[in-house]
Amino acid sequence: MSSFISSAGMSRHLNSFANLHISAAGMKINRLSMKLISENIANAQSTAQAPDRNPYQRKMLQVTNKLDPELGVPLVQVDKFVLDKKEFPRVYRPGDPGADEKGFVKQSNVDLIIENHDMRQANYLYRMNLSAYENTRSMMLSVINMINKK
Amino acid sequence: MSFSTLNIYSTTTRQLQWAAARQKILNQNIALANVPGAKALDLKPLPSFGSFVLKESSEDCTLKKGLFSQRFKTFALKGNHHLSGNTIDAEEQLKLTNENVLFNKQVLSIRQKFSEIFSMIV
Repeated sequence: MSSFISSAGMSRHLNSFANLHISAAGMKINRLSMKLISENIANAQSTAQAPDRNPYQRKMLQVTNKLDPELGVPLVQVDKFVLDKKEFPRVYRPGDPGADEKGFVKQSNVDLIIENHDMRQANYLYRMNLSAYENTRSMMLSVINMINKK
Repeated sequence: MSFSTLNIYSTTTRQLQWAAARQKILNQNIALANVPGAKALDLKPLPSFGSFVLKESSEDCTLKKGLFSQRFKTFALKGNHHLSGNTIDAEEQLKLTNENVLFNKQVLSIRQKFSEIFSMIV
């Protein structure tokens, strides 16, 4: 009886592949954040092409924790990409084609200091998720090794 | 307390299930470390090994008691509230996952030792 219980319990323990998916979903979000931050930084110096047009608007990621129907566990997922509503800074550049009648040009609302901070945070959280993933993997491997020894 | 009354297999199985369930919660916490409003959760600890073994063996915990259908209870960890309402401290969570891995290994070695002893007796 006890061996039956143990094998049933073990199989349930091994069914914790979903745990790996949780960390993997976290890493995916961090990777997407990094991609978005890179895009923001690349466009930080852009200005409006014409007085009535807007320059590059900072993009942000909104995430949510939704139940994955296949795995039966909640996974962190991208909810939507949103644009930063912060006002565009204006610089005096009278000769620019995008300058208005007073000579001011709208610049992208990307703040490099904030982007740098966000990038470090995304990088740090990616490593955290990776460590959690490796810990879960080592737990599962130790159970598999024990089963193999039987 | 005779050796045969100890239900080591069901006890350690339960503890391994608890460790797996806790790992899931902790992974979830780390994945949500940057999400506004996310709350850090943890599982309520299991009773100490000795009392757990005795209780389990005296109550003859088997499938009829729904050993595998029991769910572990969670609770919200107290932490510093970020402005966004997030209470998750990623370093703390990683530390807990490391502790959990060690606990899992400890339970597995106990189980293995008992298997060896049983195999010598039987």
